[in-house]
Amino acid sequence: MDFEFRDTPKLAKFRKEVRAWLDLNMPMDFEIPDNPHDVLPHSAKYEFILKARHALGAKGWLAPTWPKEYGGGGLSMEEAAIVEGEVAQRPWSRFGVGDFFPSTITQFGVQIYAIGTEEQKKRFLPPILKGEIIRWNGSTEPDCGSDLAAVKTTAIRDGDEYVVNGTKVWLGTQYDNADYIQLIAVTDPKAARHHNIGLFCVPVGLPGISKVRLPMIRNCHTSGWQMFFDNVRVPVEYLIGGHENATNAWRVLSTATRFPQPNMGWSVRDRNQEFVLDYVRKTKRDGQLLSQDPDVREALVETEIQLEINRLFGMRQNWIAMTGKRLVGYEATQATLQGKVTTATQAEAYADILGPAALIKDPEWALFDGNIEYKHFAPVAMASAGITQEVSKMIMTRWACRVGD
Amino acid sequence: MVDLALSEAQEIIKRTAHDFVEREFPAPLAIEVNESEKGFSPELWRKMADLGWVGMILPEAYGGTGSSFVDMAVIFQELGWAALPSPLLSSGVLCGLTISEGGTEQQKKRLLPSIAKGQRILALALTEPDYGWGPETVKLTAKAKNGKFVLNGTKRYIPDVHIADQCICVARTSQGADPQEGITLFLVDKSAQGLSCRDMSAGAQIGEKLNELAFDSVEVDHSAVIGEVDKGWQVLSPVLEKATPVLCAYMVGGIQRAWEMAVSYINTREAFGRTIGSFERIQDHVIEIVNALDSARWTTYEALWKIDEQKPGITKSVTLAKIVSSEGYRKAVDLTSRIHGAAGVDTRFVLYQYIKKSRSFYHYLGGPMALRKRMAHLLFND
Ligand SMILES: Cc1cc2nc3c(=O)[nH]c(=O)nc-3n(C[C@H](O)[C@H](O)[C@H](O)COP(=O)(O)OP(=O)(O)OC[C@H]3O[C@@H](n4cnc5c(N)ncnc54)[C@H](O)[C@@H]3O)c2cc1C
Repeated sequence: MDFEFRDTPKLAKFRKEVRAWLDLNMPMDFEIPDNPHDVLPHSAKYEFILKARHALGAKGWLAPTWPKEYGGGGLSMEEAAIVEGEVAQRPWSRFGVGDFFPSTITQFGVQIYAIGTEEQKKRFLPPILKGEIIRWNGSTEPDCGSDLAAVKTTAIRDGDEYVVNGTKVWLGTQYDNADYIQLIAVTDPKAARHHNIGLFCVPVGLPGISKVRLPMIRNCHTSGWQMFFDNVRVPVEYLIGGHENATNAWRVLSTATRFPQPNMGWSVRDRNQEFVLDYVRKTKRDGQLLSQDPDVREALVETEIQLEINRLFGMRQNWIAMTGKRLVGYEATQATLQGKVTTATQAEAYADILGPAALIKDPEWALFDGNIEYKHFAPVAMASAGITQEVSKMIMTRWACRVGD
Repeated sequence: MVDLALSEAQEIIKRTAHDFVEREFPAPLAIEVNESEKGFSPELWRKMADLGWVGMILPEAYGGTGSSFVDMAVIFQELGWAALPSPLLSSGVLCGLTISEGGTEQQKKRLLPSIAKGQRILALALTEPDYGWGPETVKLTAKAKNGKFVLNGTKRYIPDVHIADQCICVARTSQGADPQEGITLFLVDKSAQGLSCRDMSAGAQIGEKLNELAFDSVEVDHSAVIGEVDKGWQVLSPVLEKATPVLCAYMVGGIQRAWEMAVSYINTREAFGRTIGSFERIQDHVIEIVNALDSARWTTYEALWKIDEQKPGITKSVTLAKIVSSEGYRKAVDLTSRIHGAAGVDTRFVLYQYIKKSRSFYHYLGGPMALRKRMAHLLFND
């Protein structure tokens, strides 16, 4: 066993090159806040992040393991891990600099790769992998989220077009910047569940599309929009896989990543935990250092335990991706769940220790530039993002409980 | 004889209060008022005062109605159910009681009737940058000079003071071995020279506006002292204790509302062809919410009853009630949010107001971490 990522001489040389390139191309003398809501659209920081994304994308480093012909980096898993690890050390990467939506690549990119026509792969993958286009994920509807096979939006074929009608919710970011909507819709209302869904890449400019803001508890990346599709005529060139795959998309909607992104996030210490540890070492309450208070110690031991489990689950996911190992099958869901549990534990512990200061955002009084306030509400906001904890457990049950085995 | 029911008169108070908030403070208004700049509706405040709620626990001789703490809590529970923000706890309970229990005859006559009518709003300025609710945290100084007192220091995280006319400032007039000694309470005009008030909660997702009060050589007369010089904590401490379960009742109401929202949603929302209420994972959440509700309810009402009946063990009961209510409220709204999926984090949904309030009241009048320490001291007699 080996729990350490060690560079071979060749990899060490590559790491040096990566570092030098990042220093040269992405120098930075300001802080990027954790809270995306603090980066205003079209502000200097926003522009910086866009520029960083384009620069990384042009090098193929947003999709380091993908083939070069589609705009990827063509790197080995080890090299990719180095790129990601080095990027993760840079302050701007916290903002998901890889993309405003990394899942454009890890999810939509993979789906297009899996069932797209060769023409669609050539057309859509390079700009996606280079970070030149932004797509929003139009899956959830007012009446269904967890149960996506129950979507009601329809896309009915009319010659070489599909006529889309329906409503999608909670998609997008506060940046009104989507180029395409990754849309799932029922293409054959008479066909059986799971055999009736098509996947589209819908240009946002098509007539009949409109949207309104959906305000969410702040502090999540994806505070979103509601989008209405009213007789939107989508040419078949935007149906991923073409007519033959019109009812065939369900099998790739939850695709395991074909080109895994080695996520080196686990190699970087949690900044908030470091801040709070430092704070309690320096701050006295009632004449006593907070770090000497047994309750404070216990609370921070608990957050540390959760963070360490989270780190190891992340390391395991990385190892699975690097080696192509197939384990039991619940691991990715378990890692996601642990992430949600960890941040919620942190939020509670930090509020217990720091008191109402944990709720303050005003620059004059906020702790850790407002990151603690961000951390406090983010777990509430993110509890249902992507997948809920309950449904994560439902998915894990299949493997973990071996019911009916 | 054990009887855990409200009296007939209390049932009437409860119904009146419930009808009032349902009629006067429907969810859209709850969102509007809570999100407004001051987080306060003068119009509703007027109506509440007209109903006699502000002076409820103040003596009849000074314009109050001399009702019991349980009576008052019955109203607070309904206010909490509706997430109605008001300075009732600050003015009618914390400051009103401080004056009625520690003030001179003249102060009571001058201040209490207008407090009871809601015409004068007071706020308590106790907590400081070194946050806590014990006497040891009081560092703001008041020094005698030329027949006056001069106040210097900072108060933080103070609710309601931005809409108050005056505050009761808890200051240190002398420092000895016992932190409970040497504290003095001063009635200070908001307009006093050298006093500035700033909103600390700007930009934050806050359930109750919090302010900083900076005292820069604020001069007050001797007549501003409530109670005796150096003996302020002896007045304030029992007031804080009595006010705490009243706040808990507000939180009980919030948990009750969260439960109602959860139950209504799980019986209508469908996933995988069933109502989500049929999933045991969801049922377990609702059971946790109900457990939080009843734990908070009974610990709170026992504490209130002990206060009304002057039973022994008030401190332990109050401590218990606040720990259970603080933790239960936060847990209940978080589970309610999760039950709602993404809809549970939609800020146009009134649940958002409860999520924020659960956070704001979590520490108010004492947070669980500090109170668990106090509970340990009580258990081990140290
Ligand atoms: C911050 C954020 C960002 C988002 N971004 C996007 C986006 O970009 N694009 C997009 O399409 N969607 C997005 N969503 C929506 C998200 O994918 C859904 O909220 C999520 O899938 C849950 O669906 P729902 O909200 O409809 O809840 P529902 O599916 O209605 O679930 C309601 C409750 O029932 C529970 N439940 C459901 N099924 C079961 C079961 N079988 N067993 C036990 N419990 C169950 C759920 O756990 C939940 O507690 C976002 C959501 C959030 C919060």
